[in-house]
Amino acid sequence: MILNAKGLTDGAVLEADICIVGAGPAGITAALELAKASGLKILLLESGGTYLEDETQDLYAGPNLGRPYEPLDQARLRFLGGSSNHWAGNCMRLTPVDFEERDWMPGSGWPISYDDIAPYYDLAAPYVQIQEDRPFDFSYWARKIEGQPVDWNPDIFENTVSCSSPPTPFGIEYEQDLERAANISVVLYANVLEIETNETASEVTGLRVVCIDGPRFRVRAKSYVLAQGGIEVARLLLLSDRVIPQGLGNAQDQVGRYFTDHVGIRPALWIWPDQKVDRFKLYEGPTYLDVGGFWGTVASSNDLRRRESIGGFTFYFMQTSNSPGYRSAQTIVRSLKKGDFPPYLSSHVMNIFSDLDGMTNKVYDVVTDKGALIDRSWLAPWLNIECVPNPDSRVRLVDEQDRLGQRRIGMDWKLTEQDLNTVKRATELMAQEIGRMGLGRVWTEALRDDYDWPGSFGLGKHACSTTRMSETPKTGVVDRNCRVHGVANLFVASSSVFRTSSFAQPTLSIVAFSIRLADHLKQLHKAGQP
Amino acid sequence: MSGTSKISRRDLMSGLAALSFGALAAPGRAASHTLTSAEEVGKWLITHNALPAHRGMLLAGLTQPDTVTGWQAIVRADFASGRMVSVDGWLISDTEARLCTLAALDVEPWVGA
Repeated sequence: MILNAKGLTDGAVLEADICIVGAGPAGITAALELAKASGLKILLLESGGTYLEDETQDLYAGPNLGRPYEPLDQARLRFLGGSSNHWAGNCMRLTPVDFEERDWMPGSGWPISYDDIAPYYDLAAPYVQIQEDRPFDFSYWARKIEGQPVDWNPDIFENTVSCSSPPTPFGIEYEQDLERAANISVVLYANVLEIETNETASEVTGLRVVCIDGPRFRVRAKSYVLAQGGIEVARLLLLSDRVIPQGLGNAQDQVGRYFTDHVGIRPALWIWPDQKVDRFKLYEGPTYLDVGGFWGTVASSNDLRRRESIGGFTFYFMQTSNSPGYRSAQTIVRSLKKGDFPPYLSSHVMNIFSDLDGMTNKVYDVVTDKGALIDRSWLAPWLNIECVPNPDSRVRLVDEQDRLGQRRIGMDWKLTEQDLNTVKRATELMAQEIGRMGLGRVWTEALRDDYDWPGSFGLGKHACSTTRMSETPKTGVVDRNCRVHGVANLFVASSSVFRTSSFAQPTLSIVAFSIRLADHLKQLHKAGQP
Repeated sequence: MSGTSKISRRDLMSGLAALSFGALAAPGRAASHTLTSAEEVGKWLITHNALPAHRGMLLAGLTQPDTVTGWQAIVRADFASGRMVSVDGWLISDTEARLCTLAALDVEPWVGA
């Protein structure tokens, strides 16, 4: 059933076997899985209602303390279904090398291996409504769609499938299932203020919850699962500082650190194809099928990631009429609007005059607002990279409070020279491979000696790694079963547990990890060891 | 980066196409336009000290096959091993760059050092 917390009595106590905080993909999946043939009483708390409301969404607001990041109240959505209400639907799996310790990457190496999560990907597929028949078999889809895979050097690149979800809005898609499940109670408008524990903070005793302009109440359960996303999970742990002043699970100052997201350089390079652009049919965007869709991408191979000191990366090929000249025109216009001149001005000017098609397109676009006049096919791959674990990149509480009196969280996101090296090396390797196969030639700015992060780039809005999985509390927040170190009955279902972030978009993995956690919790409760 | 020595995309591509995949195999049929384009690429490389303006040094690093496919194989091998040269953002093979520079020096590489 689905309840509205506004209808509860002030001071009420809700009881359950397992309480899940946050009804996004992680929380909804965990609830549905836990409820299956278990007899467990599940309570799912959601801060918002069933649609976007400003006063709830504002609880997400927080300042930017470092590199510019998407405003925190826009990067996420706070109502039933969570951020699945605005996701793109791209689904990839983590890879074996993601879990391995890479010598050059401090903080890498999960306490589990790919084999521990692999079986759960099959179970996760239907939740995100992607193809269930060999979803990540590139050759299978190439035959089915009748496209030709590019024969990359396997030591460098791998053809990799990104499965396209519709994209599934979890709140809408699973609202009826939640409503009908006899052993699930969803409580909307329930904002958790604090995780209460015993005197040693070794066990959670309850949750203190409030409704905006409504009742205050408590939740008591045998086990608790935090599933509010990679930023709010950390925030709630840090806010729960009654016993441990640094915050629950944070005795070793790990909560909130290592924040990372997927950086998208869009585009990283331009390819002038020697061949018909149809040659890249499998890569140019999603092909939708009866269920879900397929999008061919080009990813760093596992061997490359083991061999070279760079993060993982994926290229998404995009056909475009925007040439380097068009790009230069945009760069100049943007700079002039700021009363500034861009670096390499003469180069940009000459780019424009030597690229008449691009210039014509830009002028036509500006004058008519109708896009490109000349249909010229370039390929302009987007590059998404895995950033290295960085303890100085973090979210942390600030003094400013929200309307519930809770300290807001600030985003202090940092990138490293290592991350920039990944961009440069990935671009270089793509130019190398395009030339090696005679597919065309590449133009890029990324290999200039003084190349730096562009003024703006794409963000996945994939908050990862703020409560990382680790063998010990010294190096992370949760253990191999996603249990908060030192707290017997507190678990996390979120990309915040990702020890390293991979190049893969996280949603499918979030769902897979939720199913795995649900399995674990069912075993614990069955054994009477919650 | 000097604007005055900037080469156009068309010049670059047509020059490379002529040099690497056509003109070298049949130099007598090279179009004057593409040869000029190759020279422009070469001038850019010399101006930016990307390659030496020295015929002997350029030829010393240049294998000289006698077929089109031979040149293509060398160019692709350059890319495969990362021997690339940036021409104002365009990434060309080391062999292509040397040929263009030789063209700029008005040297026909097939004649020998």
